Amino acid sequence: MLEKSLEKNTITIRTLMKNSSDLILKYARAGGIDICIVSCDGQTDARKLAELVYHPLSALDADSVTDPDDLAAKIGGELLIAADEKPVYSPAEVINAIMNGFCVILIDGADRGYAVGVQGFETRSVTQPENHRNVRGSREGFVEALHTNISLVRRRVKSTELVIKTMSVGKTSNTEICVCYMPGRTDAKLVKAVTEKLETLPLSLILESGYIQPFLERKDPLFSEVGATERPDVLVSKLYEGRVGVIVDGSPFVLFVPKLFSENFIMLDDYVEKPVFALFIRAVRYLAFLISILLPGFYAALANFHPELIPVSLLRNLAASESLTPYSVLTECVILDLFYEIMREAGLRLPSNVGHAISIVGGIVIGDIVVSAGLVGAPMLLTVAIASISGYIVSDLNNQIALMRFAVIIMGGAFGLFGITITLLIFCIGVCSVGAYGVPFTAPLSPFSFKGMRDTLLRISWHHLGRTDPEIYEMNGAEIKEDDI
Amino acid sequence: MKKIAFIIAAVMLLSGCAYHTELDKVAIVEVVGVDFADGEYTITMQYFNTDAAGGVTAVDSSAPNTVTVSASGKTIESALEAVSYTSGKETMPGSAGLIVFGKDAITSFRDSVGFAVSHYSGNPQSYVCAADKAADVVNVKFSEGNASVEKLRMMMEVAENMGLTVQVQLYEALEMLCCPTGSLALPLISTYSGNTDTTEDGTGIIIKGGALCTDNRYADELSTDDMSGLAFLSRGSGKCDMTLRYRGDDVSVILYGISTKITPSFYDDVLGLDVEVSAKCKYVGNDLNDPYGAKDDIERICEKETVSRITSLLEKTVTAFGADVCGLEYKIRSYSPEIWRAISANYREYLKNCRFDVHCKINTERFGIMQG
Amino acid sequence: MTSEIGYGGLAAAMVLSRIFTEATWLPRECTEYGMQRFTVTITSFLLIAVIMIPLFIAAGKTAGGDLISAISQRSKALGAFIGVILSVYLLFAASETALRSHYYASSTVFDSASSLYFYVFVGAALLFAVYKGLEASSRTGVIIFGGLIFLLLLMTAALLPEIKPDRLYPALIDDEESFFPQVIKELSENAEALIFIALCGRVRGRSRSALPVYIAVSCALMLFMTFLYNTVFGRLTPLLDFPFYTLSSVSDITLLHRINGIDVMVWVMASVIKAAFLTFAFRETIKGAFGSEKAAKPLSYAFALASLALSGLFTVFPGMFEPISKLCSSGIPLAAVVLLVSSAALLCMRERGEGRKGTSFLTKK
Repeated sequence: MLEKSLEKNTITIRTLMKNSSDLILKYARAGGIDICIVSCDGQTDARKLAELVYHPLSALDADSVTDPDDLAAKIGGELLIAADEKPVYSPAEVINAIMNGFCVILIDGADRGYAVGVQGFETRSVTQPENHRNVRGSREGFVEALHTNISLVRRRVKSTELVIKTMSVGKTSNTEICVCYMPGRTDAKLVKAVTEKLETLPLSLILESGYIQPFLERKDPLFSEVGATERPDVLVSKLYEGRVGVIVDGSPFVLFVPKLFSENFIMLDDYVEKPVFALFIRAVRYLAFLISILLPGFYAALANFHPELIPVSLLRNLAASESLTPYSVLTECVILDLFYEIMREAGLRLPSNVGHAISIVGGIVIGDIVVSAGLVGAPMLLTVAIASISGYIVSDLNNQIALMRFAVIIMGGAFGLFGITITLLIFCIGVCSVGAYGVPFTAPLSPFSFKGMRDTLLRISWHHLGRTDPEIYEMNGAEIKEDDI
Repeated sequence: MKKIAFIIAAVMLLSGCAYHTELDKVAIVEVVGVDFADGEYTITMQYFNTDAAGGVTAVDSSAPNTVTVSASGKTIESALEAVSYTSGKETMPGSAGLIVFGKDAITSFRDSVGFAVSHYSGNPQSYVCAADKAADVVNVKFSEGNASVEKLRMMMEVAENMGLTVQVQLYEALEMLCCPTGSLALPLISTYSGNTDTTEDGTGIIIKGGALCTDNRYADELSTDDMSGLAFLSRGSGKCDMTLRYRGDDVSVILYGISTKITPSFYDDVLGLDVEVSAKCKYVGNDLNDPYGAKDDIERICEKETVSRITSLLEKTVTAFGADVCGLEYKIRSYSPEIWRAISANYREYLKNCRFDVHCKINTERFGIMQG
Repeated sequence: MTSEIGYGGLAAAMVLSRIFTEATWLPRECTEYGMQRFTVTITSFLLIAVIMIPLFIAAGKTAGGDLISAISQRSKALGAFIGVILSVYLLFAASETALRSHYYASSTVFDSASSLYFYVFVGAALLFAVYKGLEASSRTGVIIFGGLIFLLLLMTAALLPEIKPDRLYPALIDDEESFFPQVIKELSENAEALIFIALCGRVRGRSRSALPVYIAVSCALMLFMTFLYNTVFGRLTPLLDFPFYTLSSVSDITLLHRINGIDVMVWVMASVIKAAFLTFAFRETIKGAFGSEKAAKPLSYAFALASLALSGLFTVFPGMFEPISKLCSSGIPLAAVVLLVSSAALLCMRERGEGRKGTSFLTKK
């Protein structure tokens, strides 16, 4: 607890902060009483601090204040006009407040201080999200600052239906996270389950929402029933469907639970275009997903084991091309796919100016020299290239696709369609076993739900979509049971 | 546990995996010829030459785009094996678009055809035809196109579109051989010399007519008119090109919307077949002075020609051999099961003594664009 | 709390399993694929519907509870007896499934897959399915069922020019001798009834709805397949080893010269799901009949492995398989088991006087 002695309090805070250089203790007198304004360097806005704190305090006459408690009452009362203001009673609270951009006024002779919100740290401005870009619709994306993100969500739901609860997690990082939901639409059991999981997080350092994601999902090596989005409009639509959102301070990726497999194929643009176009483009996405996983492996399997399935005119071309290459089809396929993954990884991490050089070198090396040198057949190159490009259409599943494609290539090239059959079956069982919070990951495709199909492959018109209940449990005939949580 | 699983998986993956042949070691067979002489089957295969022009890369554009190999054996399987090691590649008969049977090979025909579908990679969609000597046909090299089989297939397709022959796929051939008389009519192709326009060695190929197989063996040769009659009977609709003689002029007509109805009857222990053909007709060309005035006459000539073709076919197949080449059995079973019960035990004999009555009704609906 | 599946999921798996049996074939099965197949199919499904009526009633009266544990609670000896009979039958059905799958795959496009690879990979997939549980397998079954419907549509579209309705003629003109043997044989192919008996307690809501759905959809699909066989292959159909496979071999979809590879992929997947469901049925039987919750899980893995081993044994010594197969294809064992279980369940209910109330007699004291 804070003591009445200002000196003792400041020493305690200095000690707790281990004399950290960013701790600022500004001693002054207000109304004839010694005070100390504690803040953290870089977390506060100097102008706000001057206007909201220094100026009113310096204007206080010594006559108007009788004792330290009177000063404290004045500061907590009408003197300061900051929007965010709260009393603090312990050094720990003081430290927590200053870390979050507050300044704390400690008064000699008073056993409490006042934290005033003067946050002013540098943040990235709201820009268009890097992933999930859209043609039509909002260009706003989440940023790192929690409060900005909350405001982005709140601006879209200006009603009491949206509830936002903030909490601090992580013993070391003390990261602020915020759980948001719509009580009328979200199952209370879901909110309770998510909140409990967050409260009992065993992590002490949380730098990204990805850190807490594994604690919200079941153990599955490939797929996750926790979604992440950079778009406030997407998050709001998920909340409207009865999900729970988790915003983590410092991360532009906001989590929501539960997520369905079919949502990887749904983009915001689908809702502003005509339904028939949405149907077409979603079908293309599903097709692209299958092509991306299966095409190279299928090619290797057919070329090695089942050439009779390939139309003869195409088979002639493939055979002519393969006769020029020294490696087997499987080896070619593995080499190309690995090479592509290496290039992708290199391209992701490099600065954009070097990235161009990489793409040129990669394009020329792979696209031209490898074929003309007779190392790899042109059809094989085309197959891997189409599969790679298709993979980007479903950007949320990019990593899973890369792994699945590789597995299908190995099994298809080594065991033909039989190998692909077993691989696909194992993947399929794996995907179907995912599901938390009462909703199967593969719903509404399996278990099949007519109600859920209205916004899965096809997207019915807003005239009908707006009229019916979009709640996720209602649509899929699912409910939360103890087991699921 | 995970380690053990990994070791098992690694050993399996690295131990040579399942047996397979790389694509460039496979002979992509275009056409197969089957001949039989002196108790031995001879298989002639034409396969795609991967070293020649083709696909996106060409090692040697001057090399022939197909290679022909031939080998003999006591059975078709042994002949096929011999072809495989003669060619030095694993042959893939499943890719063959056409199988040509020499007349002599059509002995115990079902066994001969069976080889092509018994193996899982066999191609039931291959077309089947007959030739005087299959090897001669397979060895003809057309100067155009990638592979000879495409040219051959196109020739037969055009002929079928003109109503001059009926193409038969492998599984259809097998299906027809399953009928009680075991009969089918295959297109018959033949080589001739003196064609330097489309072939490299001056040997051309013509569609000569049909080969009648009954009771699983070759029986007789059918003319192109007979095969045209078969096209009328076996295809419900389609078209047929005819050139007719009318008052000293050659008149070309196209029959289309052809429909055929066969009604069986059974009276006095004799099977009767009432064949009724109806079709629409249009003139092509402007070689008649007054096509409108000649309409009725042309229709009558057309009808007569159609009846003649169908009758000729029925006489050569049904009357002569009791051979059912156009699915008469189905018609009888479908429409008159009681007749089928009466005749099924001795179907061939009933067919031989069958009385058929062929009618034809042709209506002219369109004339050529230019009037005479 | 145990996980549950919807009746649609159970019905989809049962239909998939039944159609798998229709599409695959074992030597000496002597299935006639001619025109009488239409009447055989309809008659056999009518018969199985009649046999299943008591089962339907019993399942309806035991909302929330499964039949075997209901019987077991009433009479432990009877429960154990039914449990043993069901387990043995399920083991045979599972090994027959693996046998069919292996014979079918190795006779067609997967001839390059050796028996060792086949059993290792199929076994791995089966164990994985058992490990992931009933819900995962049920959902996978629905997806594969969707794949089957897609395959059928694709084949129908590709075969449209080949379909010749002329080839249809009235059945039983000259093939009436084999009618009754074929009906009995078809009747015995409905081992899915065992799956229902064992798993109806794990179905959310109206479990018995799975039965009419199973009968109607299976019958419709089989009639459609028979229509395709007969209109495309006509007289050739009875001579074909695998008519459905051959249909896929003549289906040219431009992108692929034929789709028999995809056909076999669907059936291999279906066989694993069928074997997994039979394993789950065994697990539930053990739980219900012997009340051994803990032992059920390891026993189910043992069951899966034993069924594969037995299948391998049958491949090496077909003489062992034939008498059992003959007995099962007489239709008597299936009908006896279905009638025994359903009548025992109904009897138990009547004795307790709770059946008419339509409530679970498991939960009542």
